[in-house]
Amino acid sequence: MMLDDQQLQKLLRIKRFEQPPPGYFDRALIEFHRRQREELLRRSATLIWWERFVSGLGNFRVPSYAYAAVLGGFVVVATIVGSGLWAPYKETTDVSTSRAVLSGPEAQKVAVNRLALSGNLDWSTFDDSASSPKVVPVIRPSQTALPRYVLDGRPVSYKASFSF
Amino acid sequence: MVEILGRRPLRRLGSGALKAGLIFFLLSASRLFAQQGLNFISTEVKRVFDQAKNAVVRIHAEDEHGRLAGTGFFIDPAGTIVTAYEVGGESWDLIAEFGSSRYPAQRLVADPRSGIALLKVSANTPWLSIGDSDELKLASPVVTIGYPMDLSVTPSFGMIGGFDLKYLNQYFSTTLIRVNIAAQRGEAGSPVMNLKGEVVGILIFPIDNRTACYALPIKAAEKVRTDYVRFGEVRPGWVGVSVVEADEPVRRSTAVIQSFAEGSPAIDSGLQQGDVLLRIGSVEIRSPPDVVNASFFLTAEQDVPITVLRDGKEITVTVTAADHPAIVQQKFPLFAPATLENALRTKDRE
Amino acid sequence: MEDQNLPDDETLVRRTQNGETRAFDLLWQKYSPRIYSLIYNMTANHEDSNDLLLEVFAKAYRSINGFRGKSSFYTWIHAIAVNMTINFVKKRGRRFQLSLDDLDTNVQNDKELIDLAATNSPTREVDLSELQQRLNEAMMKLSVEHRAVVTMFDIQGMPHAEIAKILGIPEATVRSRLFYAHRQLQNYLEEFRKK
Repeated sequence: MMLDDQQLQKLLRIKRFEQPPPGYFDRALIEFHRRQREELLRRSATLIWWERFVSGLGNFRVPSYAYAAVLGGFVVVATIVGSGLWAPYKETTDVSTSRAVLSGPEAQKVAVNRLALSGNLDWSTFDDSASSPKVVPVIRPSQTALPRYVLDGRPVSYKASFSF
Repeated sequence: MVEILGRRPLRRLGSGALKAGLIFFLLSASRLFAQQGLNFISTEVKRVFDQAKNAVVRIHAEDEHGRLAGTGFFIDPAGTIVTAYEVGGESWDLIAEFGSSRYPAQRLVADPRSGIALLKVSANTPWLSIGDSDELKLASPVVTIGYPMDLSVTPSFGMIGGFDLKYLNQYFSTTLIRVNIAAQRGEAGSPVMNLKGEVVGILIFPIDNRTACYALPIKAAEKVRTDYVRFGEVRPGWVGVSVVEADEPVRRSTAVIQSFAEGSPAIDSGLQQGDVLLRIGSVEIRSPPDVVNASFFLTAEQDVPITVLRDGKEITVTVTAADHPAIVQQKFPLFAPATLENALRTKDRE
Repeated sequence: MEDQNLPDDETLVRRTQNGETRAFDLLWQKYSPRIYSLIYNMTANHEDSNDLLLEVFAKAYRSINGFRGKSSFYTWIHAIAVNMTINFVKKRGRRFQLSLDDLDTNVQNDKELIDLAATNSPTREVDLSELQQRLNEAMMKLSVEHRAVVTMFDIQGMPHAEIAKILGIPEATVRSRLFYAHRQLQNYLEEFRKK
């Protein structure tokens, strides 16, 4: 006679009461804190800050009117600066020199870092629909930590027992 | 001059000069043709590359060994990505990078048995059309597009070296395409395309110090996708027949039914021990290894027509496949899971 | 199990995000037993479950700033636990060690179940602990994904909808996986009975 569904469920329900020995969870919490401290020592403080910062960015919610406001502000500033009413930068008139300063991968890195640290999102890729997930801002990872580039699977050998 | 040398030497000299001239001409001409040929290849590769590169993405993710990066590609305009299992199968925080955009990606399904994973981003995307992997032949030219290391999107060109069910005594779960392309790290998940720009395979793993590699035929990947669309998961089918090799082929086949697994759909199906297998579903059977392929393409709840030879007569029975028992399924992943050891290894242990 | 004086999850998460470690300790107190149970029923190994429990909460702590409250903390931490455990089990492969000895089997003696064990076998007595042992072995024969749904639905009593959210799969798939898993378990238990 087989166990019916109800009997099976009852048997499974009992497993709910399988517990570790008393005091286990309190001890494990202490272990948890120890590991957290160990991690802090192992990894540099900046790296942890960076990780927290990146996950915190996901929290950044931009209300839609903010775009209009910033765009409007930009237009105003551009008009003012463009018309020469206000010159916040004391730039040299020598265009070629200034271009040399701003070109090259050095400058690009600087520009990107500034972008990243100011928390600006890459608006060109922003999808405002409610269902879509948050677009990840363009942040270059730290040069010291390259990811593992993957091409390393291996087939598992198994006995040539042919069956289907 | 003729008077001094005589007629015969002159003719010999003349015919020698003619021969030399002809050879010289042919050599120059063939070099010209060769150059043309190579230029032609370059043009073709460039054409396929320009057409397809926007649909190929770099995948960023993280697993317990840290951050990783690989390649993937879109197969529909709704942002569905195919990548290697090694890249997107067990990792988290998946991000697809294409152009200057980075999108978080969600994993739809991962199948270690075939070696691929399907991801999804919420965006309208360019996409690669699906070709026919059955059309590929030995020495068929193929183009792959991938993101090696931290470099920008890169094309490679090569030829099909063969179609293998095993490599160095290790069996795969289905026939794989061997591609003579030295794929680089980061290129797992790259699309393998014919010169029409259609995807015919997915780069899965390298062999022999990364001098060549294996690709999953797109037909096998489509099985995974179809299962996902129908069931939300991959559902390998199971009939429960064990096969043994006959000494002599019977009607081209040496695959003989040996036994049936307990409780399997094969029992009471009309099949008998000793039947010679000719066809399982749409797969022709010539020897027991063919059964491996047939098994891969079975789906649970599918009605499978099985043709056997019994006492000289061809008989076809239809069996409804069941879900592949969990324990067997766990034994047959396509490749060993990613370990740090694998990743740091620079030489193959072969 | 619910402590009336404990602030709600939302508050505790917010306080953790603000840097209050003590708030996360309270989340640990609230969720670690059930997360442990979830992990343990999928791995059947205390050492692994201990490691995974710590890993799960470490990951939760690391990513708490990114927790936007789209789902409940309950769903979120369960999702982390299930995914991490599935990945772990798949990597580890089929080596499984049942280490029930260091568990305090604080079983509620369900009278009906004891009767069940006694009457279900006409040929020999099957006592409750043997049946449980058989069940544990049967559980380990399931794939880890099937074990996950059985653990969440049958053992922890979560509704289908919640399980679907945690695994990120359709509710129908949850139901079909449960159906398949129950059938498998019944078959395996029947096999043992025959021996």
